[in-house]
Amino acid sequence: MVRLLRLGEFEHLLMLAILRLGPDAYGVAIAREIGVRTGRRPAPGAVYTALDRLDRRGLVESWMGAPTAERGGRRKRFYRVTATGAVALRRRHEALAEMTRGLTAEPEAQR
Amino acid sequence: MTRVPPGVVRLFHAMLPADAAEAVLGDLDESLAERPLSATRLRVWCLAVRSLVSCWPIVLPSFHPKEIRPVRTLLRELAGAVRHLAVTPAFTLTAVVTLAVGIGANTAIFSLVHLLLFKPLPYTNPDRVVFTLGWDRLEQRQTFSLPVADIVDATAVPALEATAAYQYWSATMTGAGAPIRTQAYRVTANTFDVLGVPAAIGRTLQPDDGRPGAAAVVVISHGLWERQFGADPDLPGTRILLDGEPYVVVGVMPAAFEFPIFNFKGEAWTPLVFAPGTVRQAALGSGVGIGRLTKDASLTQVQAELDTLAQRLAAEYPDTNKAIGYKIVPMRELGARQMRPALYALLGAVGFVLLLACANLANLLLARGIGRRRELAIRAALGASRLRLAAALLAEGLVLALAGGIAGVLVAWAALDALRAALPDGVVSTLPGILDLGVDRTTLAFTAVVSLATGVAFSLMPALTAARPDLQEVLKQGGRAIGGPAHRRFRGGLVALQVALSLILLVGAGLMIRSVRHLATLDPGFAPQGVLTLTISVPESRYETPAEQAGFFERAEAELGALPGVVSVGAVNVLPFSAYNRGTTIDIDGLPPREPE
Repeated sequence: MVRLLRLGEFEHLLMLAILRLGPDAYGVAIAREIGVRTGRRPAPGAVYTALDRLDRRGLVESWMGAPTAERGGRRKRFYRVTATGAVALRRRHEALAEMTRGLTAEPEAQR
Repeated sequence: MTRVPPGVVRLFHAMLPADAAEAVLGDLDESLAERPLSATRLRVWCLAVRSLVSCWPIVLPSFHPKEIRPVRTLLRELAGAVRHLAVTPAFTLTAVVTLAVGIGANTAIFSLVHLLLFKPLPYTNPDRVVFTLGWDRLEQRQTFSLPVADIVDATAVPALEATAAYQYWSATMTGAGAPIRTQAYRVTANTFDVLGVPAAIGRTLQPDDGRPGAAAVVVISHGLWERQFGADPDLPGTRILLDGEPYVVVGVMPAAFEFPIFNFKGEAWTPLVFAPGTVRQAALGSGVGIGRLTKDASLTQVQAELDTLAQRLAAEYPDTNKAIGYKIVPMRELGARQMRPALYALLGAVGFVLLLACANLANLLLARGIGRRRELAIRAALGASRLRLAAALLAEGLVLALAGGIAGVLVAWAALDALRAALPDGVVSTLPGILDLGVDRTTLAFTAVVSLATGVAFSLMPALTAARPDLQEVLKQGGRAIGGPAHRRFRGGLVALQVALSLILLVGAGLMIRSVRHLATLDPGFAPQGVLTLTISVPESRYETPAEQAGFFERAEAELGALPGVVSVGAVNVLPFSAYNRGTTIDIDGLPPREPE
């Protein structure tokens, strides 16, 4: 169970993007959000693969939205973070906080 | 409105579950909308294929079985085939080795054919570069060389962008280590522009290098640069001596560059010197002509224009040009023309070898199929479709063919290595690019196609016959059925095919061996036993007159003849049966020399 809750860096970014986008989290929007904030837009394929993996591990869930006029009338697949996903995120944040506590804000090279 | 081409939409719907296809297509559509200007057709397809390819891992486990049944079936059958083949290693090894020999031979010969007949020559727009050879208008036959003046004058023809001429010059190079003989050429200064090849280091010759009074310069080959100058990158500017005359090296050609003459590929190029418009007065002698066609010119058009020009020149210079005409020959054709039938015969022969391997394997698979009839019958009884049973056998064939193909590439690799090492010098210097002989991308593609076709060819018939098992019959006989009359007829046909193919190959090989033996025992008209040869050239700068040159050879003959063990000594300009032959005039001792023509 602990293993299933472990998040890779890219998965972590994806889940954060889903949280930020709220009700508007779908494929391109997630990729765009990561691109705008980190400066590196992931390839669409990488996003789908990783989202699918998260979905199967139960960390996010997805559903098809209603058809809209844009994108040629095609429906979007929306994602949201599940309760398990939230636990995984919290654990990762705690681990990061634990590891960075007491360090100066800006990491510097060691002499 | 959608920006995704209908082809992509169909592709996605065919490959992905409906929901996934819709979501991914929508995303693609939206991404394209972000930058509508850069949405070229190619980019759209690239993006689409990339999305699709990376969707595979998510799609595979969640595929609706109906939508990918063929793919899954194939994967499962391939895995099954590997398992089955692993159980009978002796059979598998035999099959793979048989195939490796067949496919390897085909790969090796194909790479030779490709190299000599189809691979583009290493020049800019190589299909527009041609030889402008001579045509004796009186005797109606092709000649190799033409007077340099006539080659230069051919530039006047509208369908030719430019022409260049070169003369072979066996120069002795000194000034950098021990003196060596080089394959040098005197060329019109635009030669490298006509070929469209830039230098690797420094520069090639430029039109100004061919003007009277210009500094004497030389461009050298990559090979000479490595061998003689230790690949010194600062070489341009260095002085070398060719036949005792100083030349400044201005450039080094790329390693892949070869001069378009098949006797000698060239190691050093110096310009022919004449003032513009005075080439007729310069008395430059004969050379070989090359030309570059203008963009839309056809060979027939150039030939027609050159014929007109030849008539005009004949009227203008009746003394010299009465017999001189032009003959345009595509560059590829000259080198490969004589070899073409032999190459195709070779390709045909290895094709037969592969067919033989196929027939052999089909037979082996049939025999194996009989052993598996019971298993197949049970699968059929349990509801496996005929297609499924055929797929199982086809998959086995494909796995074998792929393994054979991979092993075949290794065989071809080794064979080509051995062939390269065994090539006589004469062949290396006469065939363009022969040392590049190897397994390249085109060859690999060819091998892949051949392997797959082979796999299908030898497993299709067994698959079709085995896919129609007579359940009752097979199960009743406890799996020892030998097959019905149709089956037997088919096997008989295969054996007949094998015998026929073997016979053809045997007869071909026998004839070939006979010809070679005949050649080896042919009486050349002289006794070649115990005769040694060597080549030597006399620099014209040190031995200016024919008399001085003759004196050198007389001295050499006398001194060599005095060596212990030497019975007799002789000298000749062209050795019998050597690659380089030309028409020449002979002056006989004691008679006055003929007037030069």
